Amino acid sequence: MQKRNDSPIPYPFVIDEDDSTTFAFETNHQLVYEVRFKHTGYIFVSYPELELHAFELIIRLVSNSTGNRTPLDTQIAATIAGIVRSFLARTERVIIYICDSSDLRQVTRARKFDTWYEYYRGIDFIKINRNIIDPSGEVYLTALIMRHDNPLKVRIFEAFDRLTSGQAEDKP
Amino acid sequence: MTQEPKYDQPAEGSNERAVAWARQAMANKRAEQKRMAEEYKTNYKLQAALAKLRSKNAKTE
Repeated sequence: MQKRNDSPIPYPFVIDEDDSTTFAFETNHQLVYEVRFKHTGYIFVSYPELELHAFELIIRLVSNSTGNRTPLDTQIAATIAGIVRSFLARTERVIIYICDSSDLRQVTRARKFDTWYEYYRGIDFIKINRNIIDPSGEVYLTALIMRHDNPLKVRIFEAFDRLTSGQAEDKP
Repeated sequence: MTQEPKYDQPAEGSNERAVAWARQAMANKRAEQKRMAEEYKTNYKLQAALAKLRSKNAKTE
């Protein structure tokens, strides 16, 4: 998540004192967003060496004091990119993101997320996209992000691939 | 406290384990988003930290 010269300026953010995996920032439109990295060891349940380092990325608008519609704000993406970069300063960490499909706008969200990523990734990060199709018709768009120099990279690739392709969890 | 989900329940379809995982992950995400919005209302420390940041920014503008 590298800041480019023509990038929007990110908002300053704070870390929750009681939960170092939760970050928050306020926009110029009085919107407060929280970005949480929820520990999700269960994702790689058969890979104990990865469990400690796996987190789900969850973004939520937690306060809209004006009640107005949320305007387009490119600084939000820049800020989230900065937070992700900061969180991945610990090289072993890996982030899983799943696009919300509750309003059937997951494709738009995934596209936006991909755009953010391409814009901010620099040369330090890897992203893997995987789509999972539910027999009900719902499509789950998932992504994994980690640093290029993650020492567990090969195992993470393998575990995520097995998980999203539905292969058995047992290690080969 | 919420219980950690288990993904050993097969879902329908050819890719059962992946679908089960995705369904559970999505449900977890929605629950967590709801929790975040609720928790923020009473997270006065975080609100104070943001207010401090706001005040600092106002001074520098």
